[in-house]
Amino acid sequence: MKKQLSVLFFVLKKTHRLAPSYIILQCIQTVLETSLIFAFIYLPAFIIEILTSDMQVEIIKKQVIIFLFIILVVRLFISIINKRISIISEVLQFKMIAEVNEQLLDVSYDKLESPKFMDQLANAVEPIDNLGANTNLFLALPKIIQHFITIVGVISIVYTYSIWVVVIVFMMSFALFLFNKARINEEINNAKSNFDQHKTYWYYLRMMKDPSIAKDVRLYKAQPFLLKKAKEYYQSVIDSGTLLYKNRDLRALAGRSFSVLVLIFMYSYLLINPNNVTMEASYLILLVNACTTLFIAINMIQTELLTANQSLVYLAQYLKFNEMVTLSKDDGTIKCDPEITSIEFKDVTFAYPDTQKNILENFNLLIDSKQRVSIVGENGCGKSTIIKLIAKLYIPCSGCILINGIDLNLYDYDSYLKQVSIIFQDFKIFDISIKENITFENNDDLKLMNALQESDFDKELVKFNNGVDTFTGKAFDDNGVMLSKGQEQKLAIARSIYKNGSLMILDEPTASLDPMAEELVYQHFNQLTKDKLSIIISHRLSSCRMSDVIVLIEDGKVKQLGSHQQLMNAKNSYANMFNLQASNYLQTQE
Amino acid sequence: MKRLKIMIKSYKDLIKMAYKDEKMYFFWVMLNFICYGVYGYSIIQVPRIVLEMLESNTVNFELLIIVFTIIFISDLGISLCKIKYTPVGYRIRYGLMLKYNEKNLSIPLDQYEDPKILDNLWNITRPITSVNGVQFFYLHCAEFSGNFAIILISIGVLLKLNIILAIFIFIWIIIYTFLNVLNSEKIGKIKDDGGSIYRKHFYFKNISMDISFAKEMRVFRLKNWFKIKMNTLLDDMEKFSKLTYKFSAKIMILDNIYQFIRDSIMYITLIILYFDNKINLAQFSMYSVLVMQLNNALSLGVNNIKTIVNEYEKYTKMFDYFRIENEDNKGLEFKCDNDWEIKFDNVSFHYLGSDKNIYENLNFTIKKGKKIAVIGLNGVGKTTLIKLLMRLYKPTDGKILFNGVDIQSFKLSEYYNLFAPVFQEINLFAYSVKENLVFDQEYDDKIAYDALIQVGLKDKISLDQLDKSMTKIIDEDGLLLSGGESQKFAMARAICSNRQVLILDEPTSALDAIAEYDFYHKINNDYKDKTILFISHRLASTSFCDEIILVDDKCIKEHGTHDQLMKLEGKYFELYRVQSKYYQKEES
Repeated sequence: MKKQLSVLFFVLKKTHRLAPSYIILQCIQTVLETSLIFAFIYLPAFIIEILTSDMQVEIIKKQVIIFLFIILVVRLFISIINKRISIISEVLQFKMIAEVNEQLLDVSYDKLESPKFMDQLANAVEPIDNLGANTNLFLALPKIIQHFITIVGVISIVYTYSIWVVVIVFMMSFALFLFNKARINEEINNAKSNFDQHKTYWYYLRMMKDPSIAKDVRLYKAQPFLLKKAKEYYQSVIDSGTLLYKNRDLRALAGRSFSVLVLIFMYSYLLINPNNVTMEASYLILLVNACTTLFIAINMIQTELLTANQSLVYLAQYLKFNEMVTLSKDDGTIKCDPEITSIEFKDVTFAYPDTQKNILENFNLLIDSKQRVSIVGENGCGKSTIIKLIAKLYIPCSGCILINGIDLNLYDYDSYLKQVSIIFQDFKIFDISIKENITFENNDDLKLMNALQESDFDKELVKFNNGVDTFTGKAFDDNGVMLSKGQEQKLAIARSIYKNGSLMILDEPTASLDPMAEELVYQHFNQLTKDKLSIIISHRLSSCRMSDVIVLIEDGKVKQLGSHQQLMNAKNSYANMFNLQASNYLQTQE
Repeated sequence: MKRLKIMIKSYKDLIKMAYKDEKMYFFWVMLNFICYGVYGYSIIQVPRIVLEMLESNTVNFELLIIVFTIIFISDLGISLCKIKYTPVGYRIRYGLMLKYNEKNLSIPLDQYEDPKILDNLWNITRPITSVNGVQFFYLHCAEFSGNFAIILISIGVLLKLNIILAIFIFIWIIIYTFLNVLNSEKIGKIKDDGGSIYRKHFYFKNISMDISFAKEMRVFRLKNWFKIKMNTLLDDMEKFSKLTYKFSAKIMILDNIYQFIRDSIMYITLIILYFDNKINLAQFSMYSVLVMQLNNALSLGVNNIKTIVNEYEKYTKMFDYFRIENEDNKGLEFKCDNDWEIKFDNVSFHYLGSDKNIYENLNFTIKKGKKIAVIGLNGVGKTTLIKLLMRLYKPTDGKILFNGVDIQSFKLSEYYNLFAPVFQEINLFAYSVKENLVFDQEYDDKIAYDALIQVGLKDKISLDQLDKSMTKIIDEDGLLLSGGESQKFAMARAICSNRQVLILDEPTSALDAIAEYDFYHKINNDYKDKTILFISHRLASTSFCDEIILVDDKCIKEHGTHDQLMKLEGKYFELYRVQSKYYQKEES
């Protein structure tokens, strides 16, 4: 209970910050709606009362219309306030998600790779995004207050007649409560026990929707198998859903039947009691009306409390996520020099989180002066890992990385990364305009033109109608262009040139390029890395010919280091590798 | 008129579907109608009966018991119907989801990849992605039967009292419903216009959570940029929300005024009738309960209708998709003789929905047992070529002949048996290792594992790991492969299928020099009897090939052995020279 309240407090505070007028509007709305409920309790009694009085027809007509008019006015106010509330609540949900999205960008990279963190993220976002936990909470809270006022108000009406009526209505409500509770427990247990199965089912379904599997599935005739796999879980998903609906409808059934019983009870009670013979008809109608309303209110307040409670349980995950994110910041304070001239790995040992195998073990490497460095090695030897460590996407398990002689962890991350340009192996082009893909928020046309020229992307640009304002991908613009792999690669290079960091890193820049495009990248390579410390990783050893230093990595250590000529003369691993690749080209030359 | 036709067609499809799978649904809807009718009629009688008894000072228990029993039973009936009809739409929706996915996997690839379909998958699946589609259609149809019964009973009772009032209410209901439906269409249109905002938001939300974007987001310090983008979207969203709610608030206000007028007219009529002594106090109270009940049923019923007609076009799109024929499996029996050849005869091709030819008058022949390299610049259509060969696409003009017979005339599934492809994008599924290799074929573990040894995954996967789940999506301890390893794994899948023609699309792009060298030597030495077609940017690989095909400018520009093409000193020569110069000794 205490925990629930702290979550509630947290959500209220957050809501108030994101949408200041929201809560006050909800309060006004609640008052107005409650007054409507009482108007409807009184309306039939009121009409009958004035009918049986000695008033004139015209006055009676007038009074009825005035009563209806007051209801109309209240309803109009409700409509107007409701409009405001709906707008705010729709955007509020997105604002909350947007805030999580922004927080995520501060979360360290390795966390994003941990399934546990991603689960927590899903648990935090899913309820707000898809289950509407936040919306439901704010639908339920005013209703709870409204029903509460109704209950108190109605009891004070009925109380004057007979306390027993109130007691019996409460007893019937309690019986209903017990019935509902059993149903809800069944639902919760069912959802818990089938959670894994459902997760698997939804994964299979999403997978089958993925267009990239279309070719494989057809050629290898995997359709029946894929469907069979999904169908294994289908029945369980259907059964759970059906149970959920059945339970909900059973609760509704119980609610309906009980309220009919209350109605029957009230009429019987009133008729059997001999005192009532003298009772005014209008008072009798009022009592019946009031008691039915009372029962409905007691019944509804339970449901709303359950909804609110359920929402708070979900939102507790959101609170937990917020706490996790605020804890995860760690950053140094030293501002980085405007030029990176040396990188040193000192006894660095590294294994990916939750894995046993050390990718790097007591790894030592010093790169100083503005050299062009090639890192080579077999698949999985840790080449890309080195880059991730330099970008501080991961932190070494032991040892340290010195940039310009100072521990990387001591730098202010922002100022450090300003100096680093990286083109990752799996770089991403965003579905935004070409210009924005290169410049992001700080646009400088001159620099942009320069970057386009140097990356050779300007040749591609003439093919597009809107020049640099052409959109890539279709998410934002139906006329967006789909770039080929080669074009994307050039765009990524342009992005790096624009950023103009003093450390330039290229990870497999030519893996999917044809020979001509590859040659172009190589030709630009010198220009790209002029006066810079640069690192290139490639399986194509041809790229090593342009480097000053080649680093061969094996078993998590530096195996060989030197210029191409030196390493060739050493006639060791590197020379073997190079000759192996070259032999295919040389063979035919002989 | 045309819209009405579309509407009727969609609903016919929906009703047919329920008739096929859920016949009882119609029974429950009918029963619901009856129960509501009985309930609605008897519940309004109660205040009248009670007041009459009070007036006459006699309590008729028999009558009370009968009335209350009828109310209680019909009420139970209503609830029972609800329990029965609610899950119907749910079951049909989930069934359709499965059917939709089955369709995705079964229709011809060129149709599936048609931008008209692929870009519109979102639209096609709209009726099944949220409850507010197929599921609500069935639910609200059923609920409407109940509200409709109440409306009918109410009008019937009023008819007895005052014909003019009844006719007035009847006409009112029709106009009111019509106006509401029109308005809901308008809102639907406004919402459609704003759909792109949500699509953009969805995109941005996803890139912040997608790990593959995380490196760029961090290294390029995109947090601020992201925040600006997001805030602009949120502002747009608020503006758009204001627009929709402004409109719906207007409707709500009008609605309240309508109800005020309606109630006033009804109450005044009742008061006049009371003073004319046409009805007594008991009857008066009965009619005033009826007014409330009618109001309630009316607003619920109109809501039902709004949901039912809500964006009815979306159903048409979905059913049209379901009507696309699956890859047909009729035709000649495919027999693979000892000696065969596949001939491209004047083949032209362009994608569906585009008139730009990828190929024009393409002619060449693939002979059994040959190793063929397909070379060309990025985006020239090399992958399209192998898709044509494998019948994933149909030529728009010309024919592809297998031993002189058009390949389109064979039974498709048998023709597929000829090819074992490794495509550029590797798909590893969250199934076991063995299932990933052979799916559900009966297959010997040892032979399957042998394929993994052949491609060099022996150290990564051990024999007893064949049952281990791949990827970490379902099993947290699942097996995760790197890019190069995935490529090797896909190769093993191709080997396991034991088909005659291996088709490899850039099979070594993620492999290191040694693995690449091993790969080509293996192909050259171990698969002598196989026909191999591969696409590669590494021209070193071509020296293993019997033939090289250079694709350029919508057809095959050069075709021959490495030596022949080098002598030609054409495009191939140029490409080769560019790539090999870095490996020449004399240049250092």
